[in-house]
Amino acid sequence: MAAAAAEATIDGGGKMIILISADGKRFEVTEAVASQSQLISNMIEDDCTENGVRLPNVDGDILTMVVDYCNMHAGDAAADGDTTKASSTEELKKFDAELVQALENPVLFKLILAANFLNIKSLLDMTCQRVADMMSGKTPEQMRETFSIENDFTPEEEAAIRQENAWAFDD
Amino acid sequence: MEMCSREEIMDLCRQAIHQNMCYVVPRVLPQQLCLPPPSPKDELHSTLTKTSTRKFSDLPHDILMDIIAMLEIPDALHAASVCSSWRSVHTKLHNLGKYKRPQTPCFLYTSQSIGENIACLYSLAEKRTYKLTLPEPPISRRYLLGSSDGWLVTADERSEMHILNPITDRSSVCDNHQPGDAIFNRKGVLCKYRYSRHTAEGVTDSPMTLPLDKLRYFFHCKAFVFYDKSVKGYIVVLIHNPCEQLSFARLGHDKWTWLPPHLRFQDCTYKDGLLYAVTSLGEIFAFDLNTTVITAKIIMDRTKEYSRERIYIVQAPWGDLLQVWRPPQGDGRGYDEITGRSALVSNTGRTKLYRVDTLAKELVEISDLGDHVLFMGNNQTYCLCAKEYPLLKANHIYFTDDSECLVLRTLWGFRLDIGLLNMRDKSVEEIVSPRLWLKCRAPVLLVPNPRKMNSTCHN
Repeated sequence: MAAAAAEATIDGGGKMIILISADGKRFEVTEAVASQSQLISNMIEDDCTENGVRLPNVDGDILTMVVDYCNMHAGDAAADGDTTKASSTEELKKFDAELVQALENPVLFKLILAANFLNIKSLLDMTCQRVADMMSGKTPEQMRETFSIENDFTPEEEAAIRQENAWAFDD
Repeated sequence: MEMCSREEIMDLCRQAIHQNMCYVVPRVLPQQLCLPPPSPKDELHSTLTKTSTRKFSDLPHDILMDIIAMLEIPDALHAASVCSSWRSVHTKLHNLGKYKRPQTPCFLYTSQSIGENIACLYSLAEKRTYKLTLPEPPISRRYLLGSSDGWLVTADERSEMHILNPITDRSSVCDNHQPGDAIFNRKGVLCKYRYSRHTAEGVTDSPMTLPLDKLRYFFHCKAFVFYDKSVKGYIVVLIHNPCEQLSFARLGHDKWTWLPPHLRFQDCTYKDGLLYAVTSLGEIFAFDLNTTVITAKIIMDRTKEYSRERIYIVQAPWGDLLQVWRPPQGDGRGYDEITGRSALVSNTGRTKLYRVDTLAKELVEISDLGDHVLFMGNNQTYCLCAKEYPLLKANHIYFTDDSECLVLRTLWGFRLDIGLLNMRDKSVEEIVSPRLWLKCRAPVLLVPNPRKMNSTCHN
């Protein structure tokens, strides 16, 4: 197992892996790119990626984004010798910002679930941060509107909740 | 329930793969994922593919908790009142104490004209003020002795010390540090103190008899609250007169321990079980408060024979111990801009930063703070990385007034020495303009902390 991991590092992740989305789309990526997913990285170690990795709860359009993200960020994890492939920090920042800024809520939601399932920490952190940014500075009512959430409190319950931390609600 | 079961399977899957417990478990589950589409009867597959309605209200609770943990406290409280499911997630987060976001510092100030029991909290993140109604005794009549880690230390009109978390409304009376003999009136009520002015080396002056409400202005200088991980309890550290001596007490234990013989302490910080204290002559002492006989280890010898500056000590995020020298500008006499009267003016002069080279016992001047931001004043000194606090200005020092005549100047309504110093060009600007804290007790910096004093979940 340790030998397999070492091999992937030495050959720069040259070995290819096929990822298959829920709707049957196939993505061919290097081991280095795919290993950013802790889930897949563990599967590589266990040698069970031979026939492709089927991801039955990630749609093709979401997997496209995930693969794009991992391709861009493969430089992060790679050994520092390979500078040609590694994207510059500014480029990455710009790419990340554009990736999350443009997303509609349902897509952002799916991307969070995919990042969580595939266990790609940096992508999960980034998408969660986007949701946190969307929440900040908003009243509870504005948060409900933003995320289409139904208020299931009775007026009495809501008043009691606000009273608990009244200072944060004096608008 | 559906969400739970899906999550449970995912967890099981992840755990099994991650832990690689035995060859059977990790091989079965990954192969489930690699195999050609299983039959519709396959329970795991059907659970995995049911991604339900794709709404934010269906976000798995562990992820939602991570998101709420990234918010400033007021935003987290707003999120908690969106719906019952978010509320339960917030409650869990609060109970586990898993707040991740470093909270952006706020300025806390009080004024009798705003309200006896009201403390104003100006958020540097949101650039707005929150009004906190706090329990008795009235916060606007208390003397603010300091703030650290979300706790505010005050002395009330009876010169009794209180420690409170203004965010959670929890307060605790600290056992009184007895600076001398208590004097009782005929009815047996404590009415005055006979304040004996002595140090370990001798008596500095004859004792003073002081009414209860005046004692705090003579005796108390600056206070700190630190968390001692080794005993899972809080330590209160007090710099007090005469001659700015140092004492500490453990919260919940009614005993103050005096740390003689050193004098002229100005600021303290706490790291890895050691209390670091700096004097006005630049000396730094480290005290291990968990030993039975506490000794002062010299980290830095005195660097000068007299001092005009106020000196601060802070642990920088990159590991160095820093000393900050804040000199007054001019001779302190002038006219107050607000009242037009001749006044005791205090303005910050050219502030210097030093890295403490603990091996060579030398101070090495540093010209700027780079990506960092510093807070100095009547609070624990903080040095933070601006990258983690996007709304703070990097390479700037936020300073509040903690000069010696502060009480008088506050009472008389003089202009306080508060501002934002740019370390690149040494220019000073207002933190907020127009000033919110006119005729107020000088603001202290407070880093909001949702923890309660008795919480065991201290990070």
